[in-house]
Amino acid sequence: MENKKLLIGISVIGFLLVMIFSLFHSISPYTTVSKLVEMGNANNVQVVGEIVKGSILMKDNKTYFKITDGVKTVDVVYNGQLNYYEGQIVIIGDFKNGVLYATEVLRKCHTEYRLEGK
Amino acid sequence: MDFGEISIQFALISSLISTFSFAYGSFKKDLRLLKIGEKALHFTTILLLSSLTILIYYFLSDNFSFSYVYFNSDIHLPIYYKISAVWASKEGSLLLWAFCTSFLASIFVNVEKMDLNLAKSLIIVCSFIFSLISIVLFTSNPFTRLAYTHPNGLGLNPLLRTPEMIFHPPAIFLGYAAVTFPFATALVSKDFKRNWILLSWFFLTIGIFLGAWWAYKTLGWGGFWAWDPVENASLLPWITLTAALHIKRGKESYFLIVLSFLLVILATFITRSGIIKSVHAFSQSLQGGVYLIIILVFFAASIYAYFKDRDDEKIKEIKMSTTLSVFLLLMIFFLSAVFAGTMSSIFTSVNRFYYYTTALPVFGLIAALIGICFAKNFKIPIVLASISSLAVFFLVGIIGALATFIFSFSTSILMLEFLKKLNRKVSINFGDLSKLLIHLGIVFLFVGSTFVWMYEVKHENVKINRLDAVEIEGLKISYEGALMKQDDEKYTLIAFIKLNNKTVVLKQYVYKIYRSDRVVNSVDTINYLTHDVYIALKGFSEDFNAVTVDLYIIPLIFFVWVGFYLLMIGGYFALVR
Repeated sequence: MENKKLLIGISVIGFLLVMIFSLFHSISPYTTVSKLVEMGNANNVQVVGEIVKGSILMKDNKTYFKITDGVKTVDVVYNGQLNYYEGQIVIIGDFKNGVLYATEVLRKCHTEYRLEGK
Repeated sequence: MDFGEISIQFALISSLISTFSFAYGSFKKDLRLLKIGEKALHFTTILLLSSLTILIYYFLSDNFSFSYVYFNSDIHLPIYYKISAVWASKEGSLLLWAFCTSFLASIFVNVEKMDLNLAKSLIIVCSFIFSLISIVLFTSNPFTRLAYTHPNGLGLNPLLRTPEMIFHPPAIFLGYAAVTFPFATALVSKDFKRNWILLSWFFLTIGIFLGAWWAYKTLGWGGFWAWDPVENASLLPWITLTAALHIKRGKESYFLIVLSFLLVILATFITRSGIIKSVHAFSQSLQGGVYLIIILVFFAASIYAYFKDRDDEKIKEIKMSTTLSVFLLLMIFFLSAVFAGTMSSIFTSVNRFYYYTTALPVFGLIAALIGICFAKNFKIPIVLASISSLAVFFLVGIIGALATFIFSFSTSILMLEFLKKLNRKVSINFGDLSKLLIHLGIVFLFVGSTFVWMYEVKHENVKINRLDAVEIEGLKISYEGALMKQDDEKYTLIAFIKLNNKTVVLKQYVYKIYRSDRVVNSVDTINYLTHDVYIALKGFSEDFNAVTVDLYIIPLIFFVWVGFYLLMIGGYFALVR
């Protein structure tokens, strides 16, 4: 009985340690465009913003555009094509020398979609 | 004032009456009052059904004076999607949940024997229905009118225009609703209505499967499960229900059922309050407080109910076998891993790496434990498993080998034991069959998802020019041409892509609605037993002489679907038993 309790205790602590360690390794913070500009350089961030209208340029299978939060604007380079040309998006990537290199561009989507003004 | 809204208001009153009749009736031990309570409950169900029907009617008749219809439908939406649009957003899905709970409650009072304990548990059920209806009425009324009537609606979110959308939410909500009854009886009389736990588990399994299938076929990121907080939200009660099905009595049983119910409310809190900033959630309005209050109230009630009847035989400490306690411990690990990840998503985004290093290994141990539990003789299964995992080790690597070992170990034990039973001519009933199928399903699900998550090959943004084939992963991919069609609802741009000598058809839908998300790209797959070739359209070049696609090779995804089918068929057998 004592042994059993000890075993359970050890496995619980062990698993908790793995969980905490792994969790801290896996989180990437959400930021706004303004905060990103403040930070300077940052790796593996998620930026929420709006595509600046008319800023999209496609060249050699890369897409260049700007996103804004209404205060600040940054340039984005994405190695691919955009499916959506306006509205709120989430960009995951690295921010270097004033340019956000996107690895993923996501649209905020479907469970609870609501247009603004409502 | 609208008839649908009046229906909800009367349903609110009626659910209040049923709550008080059951409360006063069980206090006075008056059978007549209990009968009134029953009638009021049925009446609530009818009223909720009628308001749901009226809402469906407004969708079918394009009544855009209602903001809910305006935001979720348009003239050219096909009829079946007009019906499913009813649960496309928060207001309608809450109404659906309230209806499902009330509907199942009506069935519950009919099939269960009415006595004092049942009446007391119905107080809990009816007060919960009452709080659901109040949430609908006071925070998310689907019958809110707009200042003026628009000629056309904004249209349903294009991602929701899939057949899965018709069945996925009702299945999930029936699962959620069915948890209410074992929770209520557990609180009152420490009875664990196993049939209702099973029913809830069954519907949740179907719902989760439909969600996974939908994600795979529609979203185009080449996976069936992304560990998104909204997906996790429905997995959490599934985990506790699965654990609850393994224990018949004792305090563990009690707390697992309480936890399942609280996690169901938490799931709604996560998906419908907008607290999670994932790609899923959109609502800015935070009404999360209401759900948190409900969770706290029911949590306090269940703690109180536990200490009140602490000496009840049914929740006394029970002696568990070693395997059962190991299983419980693993399930708690699994639950905490998913829970911690999901909760962290409120403040930040959690990478999938976290789940691969915590939840997945625990899943593996559970799959292995299935084999160990059923085994009487380890020799043959271990030999079989060693051989197959060695082969896989040289093919893909150590993780695949481990997963294969667990898979072949557990499946061979399950099959051997079953065959032995058949041989001994012990009569095989639905119970044995469902046990076999469900446990096989879990093992299949484990090996399939491990391979999908660990060994998926991804080629993003592959540009294919016309008359200029590209070669990837031994596949010759060429772009054969494009076609455009249109109907009332949308324009469809169709690209024909040839992979070696099989043709896949990729479509880009451009819906004729004024929404920023009106462009949706489709996915096509070529299925093999060992892998899927999964190809997702990203876009056309401006002159249509080139397409960009994402190409995935997804190993063993077929095993994932087999796992889900086995779970559902096994669950069905367990129910009809």
